[in-house]
Amino acid sequence: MGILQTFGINWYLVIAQIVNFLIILYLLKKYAYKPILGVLKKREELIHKGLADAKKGEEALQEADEERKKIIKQARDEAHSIVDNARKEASMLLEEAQIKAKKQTEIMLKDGEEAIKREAHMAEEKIEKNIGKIVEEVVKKSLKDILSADQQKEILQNTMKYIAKNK
Amino acid sequence: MTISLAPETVFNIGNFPVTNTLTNTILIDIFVLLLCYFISKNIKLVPGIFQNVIELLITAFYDLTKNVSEKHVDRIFPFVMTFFFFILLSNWSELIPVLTAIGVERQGEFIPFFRSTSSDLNTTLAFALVSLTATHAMSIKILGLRGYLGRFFSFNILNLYTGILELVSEFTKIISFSFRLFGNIFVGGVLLSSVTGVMAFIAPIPVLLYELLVGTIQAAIFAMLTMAFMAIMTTPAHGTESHK
Repeated sequence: MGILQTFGINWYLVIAQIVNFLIILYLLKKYAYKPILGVLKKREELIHKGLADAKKGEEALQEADEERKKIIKQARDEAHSIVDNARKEASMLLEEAQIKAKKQTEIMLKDGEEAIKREAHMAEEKIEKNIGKIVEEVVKKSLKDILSADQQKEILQNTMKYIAKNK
Repeated sequence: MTISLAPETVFNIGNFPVTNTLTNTILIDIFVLLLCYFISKNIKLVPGIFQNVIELLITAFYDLTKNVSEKHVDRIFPFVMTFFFFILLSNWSELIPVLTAIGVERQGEFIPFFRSTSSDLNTTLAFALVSLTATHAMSIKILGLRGYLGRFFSFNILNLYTGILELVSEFTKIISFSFRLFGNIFVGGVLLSSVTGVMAFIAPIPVLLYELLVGTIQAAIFAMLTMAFMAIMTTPAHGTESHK
């Protein structure tokens, strides 16, 4: 007991200090440690989320880039095929037009030939029709002073006969 | 200058003596209350300088406790942190120059109104009792009564012998805990007042710096020992492990 008195041990004071410490422990736990640790945890979660989002974003960007490249390649291929098709179609159209033109030319040539033939035939017929008159005129005008009217008539008749014979 | 191991009574409330270490405790309590209020009102996700310092301190102790006992960190950490913080404030409070100079002259003796809380064996004994009671309560809660008692009592003679030694050491821990802290801080106070008595200017500065370090180390020792004992007592002993 002497030692306790020397050190001033008073059990009321010991209990008071225990109660005081427990109150401080409770207050610090509730109002300091919990909020601070909560904020630290929240911050850590946010950082993790941010990193995960950044990774996701990067992946999405990469995917979008790949998609873009794919679309460009597809568009380029399509453009190539369209141009090829157009070329083929154009050459086909040209070929067709050439054939058509050739055919039309042939038809036109044939028609022309036929028209010429027809014209020639008509001219021949016309000449044939008027040949008597022409011969009569030629004989009358060329033999007017040389031969008599009877001789002219005989020559004319003979010529007409010859023509009629060789028709 | 008289040196008293016991704290001086400032006034009495009935039979209850209000000592100068108790007034100092109330001063620390006010500071802690203000701190709690300030933290709870100003806590933000993006911290300021003050919050950064608090976070640094709390994270350091939390991580340390987690390294020692990951499973029971949430139970052990509040005790460790509060012991460190409260004892640190208590130890450093004697270094505030004006504080210890305020007092009254009674029967030719100067009675300061404030004296470091840790330089009172009542307080250090209270701390030791809280630390060990909490350790043992935690051990019973986590290991169960059988597991807890199995640490000290066994049918194996050798284990029984070491168990009883351990049981005795649990009681001696109260003494070592309380006297270590009390001794260091009390002596620091005596040294400081002696040096100040001889030469009030410049000479106390190295002692003040030394006591600043001692105060930190003693607070850390108390907190670390509590952490270690709690971690040991919440881990199943070798003998009891096999029963589970």
